[in-house]
Amino acid sequence: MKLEQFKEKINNINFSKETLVVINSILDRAIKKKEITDEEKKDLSELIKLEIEAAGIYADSIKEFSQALENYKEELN
Amino acid sequence: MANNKELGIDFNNTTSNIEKSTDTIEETPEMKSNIITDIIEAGKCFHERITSIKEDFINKANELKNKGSEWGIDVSEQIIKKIEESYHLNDMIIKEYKITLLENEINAHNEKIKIAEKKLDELYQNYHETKKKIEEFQGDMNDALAEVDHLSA
Repeated sequence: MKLEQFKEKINNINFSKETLVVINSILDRAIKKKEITDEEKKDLSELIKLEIEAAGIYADSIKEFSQALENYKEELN
Repeated sequence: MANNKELGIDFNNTTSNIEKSTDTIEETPEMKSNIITDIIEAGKCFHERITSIKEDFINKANELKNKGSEWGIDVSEQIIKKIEESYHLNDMIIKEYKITLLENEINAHNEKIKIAEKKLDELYQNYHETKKKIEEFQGDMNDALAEVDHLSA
Protein backbone atom coordinates (compact mmCIF):
# COMPACT_ATOMS: atom_id res chain seq x y z
CA MET A 1 0.00 0.00 0.00
CA LYS A 2 1.21 3.52 -0.80
CA LEU A 3 2.09 5.80 2.10
CA GLU A 4 -0.54 8.46 1.24
CA GLN A 5 -3.22 5.80 0.93
CA PHE A 6 -2.17 4.30 4.26
CA LYS A 7 -2.23 7.71 5.95
CA GLU A 8 -5.78 8.27 4.71
CA LYS A 9 -6.82 4.85 6.00
CA ILE A 10 -5.22 5.42 9.40
CA ASN A 11 -6.92 8.82 9.80
CA ASN A 12 -10.32 7.24 9.20
CA ILE A 13 -9.82 4.87 12.14
CA ASN A 14 -10.81 6.10 15.56
CA PHE A 15 -7.31 6.32 17.04
CA SER A 16 -6.65 8.46 20.10
CA LYS A 17 -5.59 11.98 19.10
CA GLU A 18 -2.21 11.70 20.82
CA THR A 19 -1.28 8.50 18.99
CA LEU A 20 -2.55 9.83 15.68
CA VAL A 21 -0.27 12.89 15.97
CA VAL A 22 2.77 10.60 16.35
CA ILE A 23 1.68 8.25 13.54
CA ASN A 24 1.05 11.18 11.19
CA SER A 25 4.45 12.71 11.96
CA ILE A 26 6.16 9.41 11.05
CA LEU A 27 4.11 9.08 7.85
CA ASP A 28 4.60 12.75 6.84
CA ARG A 29 8.35 12.38 7.25
CA ALA A 30 8.33 9.19 5.15
CA ILE A 31 6.14 10.78 2.46
CA LYS A 32 8.47 13.81 2.29
CA LYS A 33 11.62 11.71 1.80
CA LYS A 34 9.67 9.23 -0.39
CA GLU A 35 10.77 6.19 1.56
CA ILE A 36 9.94 4.40 4.79
CA THR A 37 12.61 2.65 6.84
CA ASP A 38 12.22 -0.61 8.72
CA GLU A 39 12.65 1.35 11.94
CA GLU A 40 9.71 3.61 11.04
CA LYS A 41 7.60 0.57 10.13
CA LYS A 42 8.47 -0.94 13.50
CA ASP A 43 7.41 2.27 15.28
CA LEU A 44 4.11 2.34 13.37
CA SER A 45 3.44 -1.31 14.26
CA GLU A 46 4.14 -0.71 17.93
CA LEU A 47 1.91 2.37 18.04
CA ILE A 48 -0.97 0.49 16.40
CA LYS A 49 -0.47 -2.47 18.76
CA LEU A 50 -0.59 -0.06 21.70
CA GLU A 51 -3.97 1.25 20.53
CA ILE A 52 -5.25 -2.31 19.98
CA GLU A 53 -4.18 -3.19 23.52
CA ALA A 54 -5.89 -0.09 24.96
CA ALA A 55 -9.11 -0.85 23.06
CA GLY A 56 -8.90 -4.43 24.33
CA ILE A 57 -8.75 -3.25 27.96
CA TYR A 58 -11.78 -1.03 27.44
CA ALA A 59 -13.70 -3.81 25.65
CA ASP A 60 -12.93 -6.26 28.47
CA SER A 61 -14.06 -3.74 31.11
CA ILE A 62 -17.32 -3.22 29.20
CA LYS A 63 -17.86 -6.98 29.12
CA GLU A 64 -17.25 -7.31 32.87
CA PHE A 65 -19.55 -4.36 33.70
CA SER A 66 -22.34 -5.77 31.54
CA GLN A 67 -21.99 -9.21 33.18
CA ALA A 68 -22.18 -7.58 36.64
CA LEU A 69 -25.31 -5.70 35.53
CA GLU A 70 -26.88 -8.86 34.17
CA ASN A 71 -26.25 -10.67 37.48
CA TYR A 72 -27.64 -7.75 39.48
CA LYS A 73 -30.75 -7.66 37.31
CA GLU A 74 -31.31 -11.39 37.80
CA GLU A 75 -30.99 -10.94 41.57
CA LEU A 76 -33.61 -8.20 41.65
CA ASN A 77 -36.04 -10.22 39.56
CA MET B 1 -13.29 -13.42 40.45
CA ALA B 2 -15.63 -14.03 43.38
CA ASN B 3 -18.96 -15.61 42.56
CA ASN B 4 -22.13 -15.21 44.61
CA LYS B 5 -21.49 -18.29 46.69
CA GLU B 6 -17.98 -17.11 47.54
CA LEU B 7 -19.40 -13.79 48.66
CA GLY B 8 -21.77 -15.62 50.97
CA ILE B 9 -24.96 -14.21 49.47
CA ASP B 10 -27.87 -16.45 48.62
CA PHE B 11 -29.51 -14.79 45.65
CA ASN B 12 -31.96 -17.63 45.14
CA ASN B 13 -33.41 -16.68 48.50
CA THR B 14 -33.42 -12.99 47.45
CA THR B 15 -35.41 -13.78 44.32
CA SER B 16 -37.83 -15.88 46.27
CA ASN B 17 -38.56 -13.05 48.71
CA ILE B 18 -39.06 -10.50 45.94
CA GLU B 19 -41.49 -12.85 44.20
CA LYS B 20 -43.44 -13.13 47.43
CA SER B 21 -43.80 -9.36 47.55
CA THR B 22 -45.51 -9.25 44.16
CA ASP B 23 -47.72 -12.27 44.75
CA THR B 24 -49.04 -11.10 48.09
CA ILE B 25 -51.36 -8.13 48.41
CA GLU B 26 -50.27 -7.12 51.89
CA GLU B 27 -46.76 -7.71 53.17
CA THR B 28 -46.07 -8.00 56.85
CA PRO B 29 -43.52 -5.54 58.31
CA GLU B 30 -41.16 -8.49 58.69
CA MET B 31 -41.47 -9.40 55.00
CA LYS B 32 -40.89 -5.78 54.00
CA SER B 33 -37.84 -5.70 56.18
CA ASN B 34 -36.52 -8.94 54.65
CA ILE B 35 -37.02 -7.66 51.12
CA ILE B 36 -35.17 -4.45 51.94
CA THR B 37 -32.36 -6.39 53.64
CA ASP B 38 -32.01 -8.68 50.61
CA ILE B 39 -31.94 -5.77 48.20
CA ILE B 40 -29.39 -3.91 50.33
CA GLU B 41 -27.21 -7.04 50.30
CA ALA B 42 -27.57 -7.45 46.53
CA GLY B 43 -26.71 -3.74 46.14
CA LYS B 44 -23.62 -4.08 48.33
CA CYS B 45 -22.49 -7.10 46.34
CA PHE B 46 -23.02 -5.25 43.04
CA HIS B 47 -21.20 -2.17 44.35
CA GLU B 48 -18.22 -4.28 45.45
CA ARG B 49 -18.17 -6.07 42.10
CA ILE B 50 -18.20 -2.90 39.96
CA THR B 51 -15.59 -1.24 42.22
CA SER B 52 -13.37 -4.29 41.81
CA ILE B 53 -13.88 -4.23 38.01
CA LYS B 54 -13.03 -0.51 37.89
CA GLU B 55 -9.85 -0.91 39.95
CA ASP B 56 -8.71 -3.98 38.03
CA PHE B 57 -9.05 -2.35 34.60
CA ILE B 58 -7.63 0.99 35.71
CA ASN B 59 -4.55 -0.90 36.90
CA LYS B 60 -4.33 -2.63 33.51
CA ALA B 61 -4.71 0.72 31.71
CA ASN B 62 -1.99 2.24 33.90
CA GLU B 63 0.39 -0.47 32.73
CA LEU B 64 0.16 1.06 29.23
CA LYS B 65 1.65 4.35 30.46
CA ASN B 66 5.22 3.10 30.13
CA LYS B 67 4.62 1.58 26.72
CA GLY B 68 3.63 4.92 25.21
CA SER B 69 6.25 7.01 27.01
CA GLU B 70 8.82 6.43 24.24
CA TRP B 71 6.66 8.60 21.96
CA GLY B 72 5.50 10.96 24.73
CA ILE B 73 1.91 9.67 24.64
CA ASP B 74 -0.38 8.30 27.32
CA VAL B 75 -3.09 6.08 25.84
CA SER B 76 -4.13 5.00 29.34
CA GLU B 77 -5.65 8.40 30.22
CA GLN B 78 -8.47 8.12 27.68
CA ILE B 79 -9.25 4.50 28.62
CA ILE B 80 -9.29 5.32 32.36
CA LYS B 81 -11.76 8.15 31.71
CA LYS B 82 -14.09 5.75 29.86
CA ILE B 83 -13.84 3.10 32.60
CA GLU B 84 -14.64 5.75 35.24
CA GLU B 85 -17.70 6.82 33.20
CA SER B 86 -18.96 3.23 33.03
CA TYR B 87 -18.44 2.87 36.77
CA HIS B 88 -20.42 6.02 37.58
CA LEU B 89 -23.31 4.92 35.36
CA ASN B 90 -23.49 1.69 37.34
CA ASP B 91 -23.12 3.49 40.63
CA MET B 92 -26.11 5.69 39.74
CA ILE B 93 -28.35 2.60 39.84
CA ILE B 94 -27.20 1.80 43.37
CA LYS B 95 -27.96 5.38 44.47
CA GLU B 96 -31.45 5.08 43.00
CA TYR B 97 -32.10 2.10 45.26
CA LYS B 98 -30.60 3.77 48.33
CA ILE B 99 -33.00 6.71 48.00
CA THR B 100 -35.92 4.29 47.76
CA LEU B 101 -34.79 2.24 50.71
CA LEU B 102 -34.49 5.34 52.86
CA GLU B 103 -38.14 6.03 52.10
CA ASN B 104 -38.78 2.51 53.40
CA GLU B 105 -41.94 2.03 51.31
CA ILE B 106 -42.29 -1.26 49.42
CA ASN B 107 -44.84 0.08 46.93
CA ALA B 108 -42.70 3.08 46.13
CA HIS B 109 -39.78 0.74 45.94
CA ASN B 110 -41.48 -1.53 43.41
CA GLU B 111 -42.15 1.46 41.19
CA LYS B 112 -38.51 2.53 41.47
CA ILE B 113 -37.39 -0.98 40.59
CA LYS B 114 -39.28 -0.67 37.31
CA ILE B 115 -37.58 2.66 36.57
CA ALA B 116 -34.17 1.31 37.55
CA GLU B 117 -34.68 -1.86 35.51
CA LYS B 118 -35.42 0.27 32.47
CA LYS B 119 -32.23 2.22 33.05
CA LEU B 120 -30.38 -1.03 33.55
CA ASP B 121 -31.72 -2.41 30.24
CA GLU B 122 -30.64 0.75 28.44
CA LEU B 123 -27.21 0.57 30.00
CA TYR B 124 -26.85 -3.10 29.12
CA GLN B 125 -27.89 -2.41 25.52
CA ASN B 126 -25.45 0.49 25.40
CA TYR B 127 -22.64 -1.81 26.54
CA HIS B 128 -23.35 -4.23 23.70
CA GLU B 129 -23.34 -1.42 21.14
CA THR B 130 -20.11 0.02 22.56
CA LYS B 131 -18.47 -3.41 22.56
CA LYS B 132 -19.49 -3.94 18.91
CA LYS B 133 -17.97 -0.56 17.96
CA ILE B 134 -14.73 -1.43 19.78
CA GLU B 135 -14.54 -4.76 17.94
CA GLU B 136 -15.00 -3.00 14.60
CA PHE B 137 -12.34 -0.48 15.60
CA GLN B 138 -9.95 -3.30 16.55
CA GLY B 139 -10.64 -4.99 13.21
CA ASP B 140 -9.73 -1.79 11.34
CA MET B 141 -6.57 -1.42 13.39
CA ASN B 142 -5.55 -5.03 12.74
CA ASP B 143 -6.04 -4.41 8.99
CA ALA B 144 -3.82 -1.33 9.25
CA LEU B 145 -1.23 -3.31 11.21
CA ALA B 146 -1.13 -5.97 8.49
CA GLU B 147 -0.48 -3.26 5.88
CA VAL B 148 2.54 -1.72 7.65
CA ASP B 149 5.05 -4.30 6.37
CA HIS B 150 3.86 -3.74 2.79
CA LEU B 151 4.15 0.07 2.78
CA SER B 152 5.92 1.71 -0.12
CA ALA B 153 6.61 5.26 -1.22
